[in-house]
Amino acid sequence: MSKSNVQVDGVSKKFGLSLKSALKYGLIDSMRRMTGREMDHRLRAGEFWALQDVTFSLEPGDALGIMGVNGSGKTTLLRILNGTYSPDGGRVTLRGRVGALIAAGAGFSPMLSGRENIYISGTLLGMTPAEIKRKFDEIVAFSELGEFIDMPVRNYSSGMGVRLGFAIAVIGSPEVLLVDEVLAVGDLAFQKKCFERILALKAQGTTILLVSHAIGAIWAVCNKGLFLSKGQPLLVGDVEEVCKAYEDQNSRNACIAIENEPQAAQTSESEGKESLPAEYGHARGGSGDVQCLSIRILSAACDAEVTDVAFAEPFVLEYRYVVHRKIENPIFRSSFDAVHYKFIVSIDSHEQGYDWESIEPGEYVMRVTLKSQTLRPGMYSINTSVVSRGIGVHLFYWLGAASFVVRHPSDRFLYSNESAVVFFPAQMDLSKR
Amino acid sequence: MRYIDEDGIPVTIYQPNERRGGLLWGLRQASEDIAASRHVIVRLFWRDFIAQFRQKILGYLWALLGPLLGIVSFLFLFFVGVLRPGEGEIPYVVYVLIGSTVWGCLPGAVGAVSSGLQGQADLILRTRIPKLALAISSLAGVSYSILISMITMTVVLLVVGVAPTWWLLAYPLLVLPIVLLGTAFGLVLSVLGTIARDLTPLFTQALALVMYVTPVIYLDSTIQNPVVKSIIAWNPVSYLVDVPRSLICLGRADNVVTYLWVSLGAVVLVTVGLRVFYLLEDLVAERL
Repeated sequence: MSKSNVQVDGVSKKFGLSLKSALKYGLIDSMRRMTGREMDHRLRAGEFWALQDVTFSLEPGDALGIMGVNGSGKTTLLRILNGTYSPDGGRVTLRGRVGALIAAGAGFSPMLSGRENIYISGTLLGMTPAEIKRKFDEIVAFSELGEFIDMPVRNYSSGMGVRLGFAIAVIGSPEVLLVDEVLAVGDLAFQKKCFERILALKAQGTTILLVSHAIGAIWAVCNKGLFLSKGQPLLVGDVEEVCKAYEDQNSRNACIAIENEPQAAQTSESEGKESLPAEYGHARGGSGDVQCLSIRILSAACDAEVTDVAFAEPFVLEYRYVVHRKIENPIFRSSFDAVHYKFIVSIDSHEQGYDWESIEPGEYVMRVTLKSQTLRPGMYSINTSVVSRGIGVHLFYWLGAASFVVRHPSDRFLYSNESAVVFFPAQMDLSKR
Repeated sequence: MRYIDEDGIPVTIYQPNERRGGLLWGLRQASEDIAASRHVIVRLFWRDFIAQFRQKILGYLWALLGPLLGIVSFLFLFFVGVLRPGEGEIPYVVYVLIGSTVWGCLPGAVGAVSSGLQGQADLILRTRIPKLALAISSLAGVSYSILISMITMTVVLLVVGVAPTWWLLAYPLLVLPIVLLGTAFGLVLSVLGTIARDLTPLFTQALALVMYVTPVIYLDSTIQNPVVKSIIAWNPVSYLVDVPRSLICLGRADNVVTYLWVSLGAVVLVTVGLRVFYLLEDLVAERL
């Protein structure tokens, strides 16, 4: 069995929540250390765990994609692995030379030429002068700077500077490579070259740790994934499973964020007796003839209330209405909003072939069963309204009335486009002419 | 902790409180860090040195011209008679020039080392360069200033008509103790000053006060107040300034033994400074 290149055992790191607490505990810790006393490894008032009890192991050739929302501890973990931060608990063992693409462009002096900066940055990244000299031409070729290599770096475009920094960092052949959101540099051809270089290193046995918000980049490079949330490792394992879990959690977070919005929080606790604004521009409003009190999302299989459904899983929307005045030719309508787009789906009772001549005052429950939905994984919010055919205004409207999450399927990874909202099952044939 | 495993592959281990060695451990670790980072130190000095002379008509001549122009005003004041406050064995202009140059090594070293980490925050956060190397890399600039000041001192001595002794050639060695003293304080400030940002300015102010009780610009013999005389006598920096100056100008000096003891003390302080630095260095990055 090959030895692990990266072994992370129960690593934790805590920070102060404010500059004041950082100063206070910094001085206390300094005094403790200088007087030979043990450090306080407990969480003290005004501190938080930026990283807590993270454990994983990577063999040569493994690539780990580290995912999590901002503040989840990704960069802290990478900085601990890079030796920038010392862990407050646990242990990190790195076997072999460590290269860090987070250091791309480190130490560049704008007054000096690209050539001179190659020597400076190369040295700062741990190369010896002889090694830099040997790899100089390769670095210049990779950066595609050509004749501009003797021009001062301050006259470079931002893309040229980043390309040079990346080239210096990536040309070394480390056993462990730390990468932080830097694969989106330069034009598409350069990005392709960067990916190819990283994959070539991986094939040679380099262990790669990649932090990125771009699931596509992680899926392209990594075979393992680590999902961090508030410093906690929620999932470590196969990259597709972790990507799915990360995206599903993102969808749930979006759902919670919408539910916490003040407008959306206007519930119908008073069972429809409160007066609604009789104008547009609110989350809810209407003429007062009818009101939707609640929307529940139920599993079609067991009729239990759920907050998320699996991809392609049928589900039921259950609406409770109270009708105050008789409504002629009522039409019940709902639409879905995705994260990036509004009104991606419209479900209209008349379009669906359901028409009622009128409905009398009273309470009603409407169940809408979506049997063959193909919404892609993500968060969706529901808007609902009641109109009357022949009356050109809403009798009732409610934006953001409820929200739900569509989870990733277990049998496939829908990774291609985070903005896409609908999946079309398609038959595909490829033939050579 | 770093070591080479049985397959000849370097292994790095990061864990809490790994800097748990003694004073001598600090010295050994420092020598290992400096040896491992020698290319980095040279390259950082080279970068800053080259960059400061780019886009200037006189280019690298400024390396020499700057300090030489600086002493023109000094010589002007001497020749118009402003700088002749008293008689001593050493002409006053030379006394002040060498005194202030030697003294300048102390705040120079303190400033260079103490700001070494904060000034290189980007490198600390993104690279794996030992922090000690970054802290002391600016000392290369202090060394360069020391070499340049040998030239300016020679010019002034010749203009004033004082033949420098052979001790002038040993100037870098003579000021080494005061540089070490500054390095010791700088090492402590480089870490503590990052945690509490007002410590370094406070120390800089305190250093300015120490200069008043050090015979840098006045003759020791002109001080009448016994308390001040006593403070000057007990001030170890007095010897680190006075002995090199006397040796360079006169070829002899009083208090050489005290100078050597103070020099030994500076070495001890550097050892303590290194210990404090290694104990606290990992607290720096998260506070940059």
